[in-house]
Amino acid sequence: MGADRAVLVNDAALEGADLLATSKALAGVLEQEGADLVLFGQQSADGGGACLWAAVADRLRQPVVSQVSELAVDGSSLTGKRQTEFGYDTIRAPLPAVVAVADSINTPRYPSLKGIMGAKKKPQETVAPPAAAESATTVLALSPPPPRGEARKIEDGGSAAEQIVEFLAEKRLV
Amino acid sequence: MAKTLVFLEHHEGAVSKGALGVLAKAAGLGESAGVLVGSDVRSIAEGVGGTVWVADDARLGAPLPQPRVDVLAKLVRDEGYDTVLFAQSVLAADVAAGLAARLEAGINWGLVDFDGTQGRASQLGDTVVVDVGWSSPVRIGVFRAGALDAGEGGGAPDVRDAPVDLEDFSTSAEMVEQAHAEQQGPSIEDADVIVAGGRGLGEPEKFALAEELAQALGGAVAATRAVVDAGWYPYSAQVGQTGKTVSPKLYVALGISGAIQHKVGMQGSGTIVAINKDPNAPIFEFSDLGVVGDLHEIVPKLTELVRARRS
Repeated sequence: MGADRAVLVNDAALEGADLLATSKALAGVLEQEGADLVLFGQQSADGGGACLWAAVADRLRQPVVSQVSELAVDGSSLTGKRQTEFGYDTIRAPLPAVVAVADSINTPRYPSLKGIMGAKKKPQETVAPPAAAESATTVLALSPPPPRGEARKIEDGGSAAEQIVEFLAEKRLV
Repeated sequence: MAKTLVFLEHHEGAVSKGALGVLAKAAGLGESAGVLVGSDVRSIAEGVGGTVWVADDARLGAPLPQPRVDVLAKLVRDEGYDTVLFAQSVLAADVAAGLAARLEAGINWGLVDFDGTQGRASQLGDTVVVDVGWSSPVRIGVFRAGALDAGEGGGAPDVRDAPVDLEDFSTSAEMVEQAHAEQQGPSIEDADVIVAGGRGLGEPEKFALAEELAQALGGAVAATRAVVDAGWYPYSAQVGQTGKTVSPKLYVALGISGAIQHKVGMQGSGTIVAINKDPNAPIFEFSDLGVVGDLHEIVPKLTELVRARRS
């Protein structure tokens, strides 16, 4: 997709790392990298805390802007337009900075064959975090979620509208 | 016994309902206080009840997370709070995570309950309920939106001044502009029936399909972030992580894939009906009735049938 280099932070000690430990490991490596701009995505599909960037930024002592859907960077600062529950904010911050983009920022293109071949030649490095990072949360028990009731899935064979109305009538919703 | 600090997020002169719910929860767990951070916010503390720390400073006017981390971290250290609780929001999540790093405190989110030492959270896209604990001296917890009911106002609060001592990096980001949309039409938060449209509608004009069905069902129209960001529909109708959290009796999702940031805004709906042409769309995993098909064919028919039934 265009990156010049990849760094994988991988260490057996990070197995099951929580947000606190992950932020410490990432910040340690980022400090060594000395990047001007650190970009995060929307959120992970598992834990989905959608806040790791703020912990990393605090450790790096850099400004953070999250939920950014438009981003402009000039030589020394960035301007991000972000969405909150109340509307749009435009925030300016000096570099170096941490930015978390929302998935609405763009539609990723498919990598071209040339790009895929080119990526194989790009350096990839695996590093361990420079400082030990310990989790501070524990999982005590897991249990199934309360049942949602019986879910139905149908394929439209021409009568889907009728079937939806029947379903709504059954539930006394229409 | 927990000594708990609750972040009181506020907007347009009022503390958020979610934060008041968390404050009521904290009050039942032992010693607790709220903390209000902003500029000219002292009057907002009236009616909150209990102990309220107020950090009032012109530099705290914009709703940016990092100066708030400075204020909360100092309060926790100076006053010996062992628990800091938040109600989920864009701002609260950033403050909570920044505070976790600052204090080396464990953070759990998605909480639906907390007993002073353990929490209960719904995780992995609501596929598992997790009982969570903390091993750090300070616990940070973020409650899921709408998890708790706001308590009764507690009368005159005991307002205390919180020291404001800000780091240079915390104040380096600045708010250039805030564009907060006016509410258009009735709020979707109060609607019993919601018809929501996503990218699968294909083009902005096709929101008419959602509007007609909503009208037939006596409901309101909502939208996903993707179509709001694309300018297809007004922001006030947006449901999801950075929009509104709704719990109507019926939620009809048209051409919505069901990304996690949309799901968190509507998963409390009574009955969910989804129409999507992609049989693998995640929305089918949490729909009561999932219909794989072309919404452009199904919805006009459905609207007709609903109209006929109601007339």
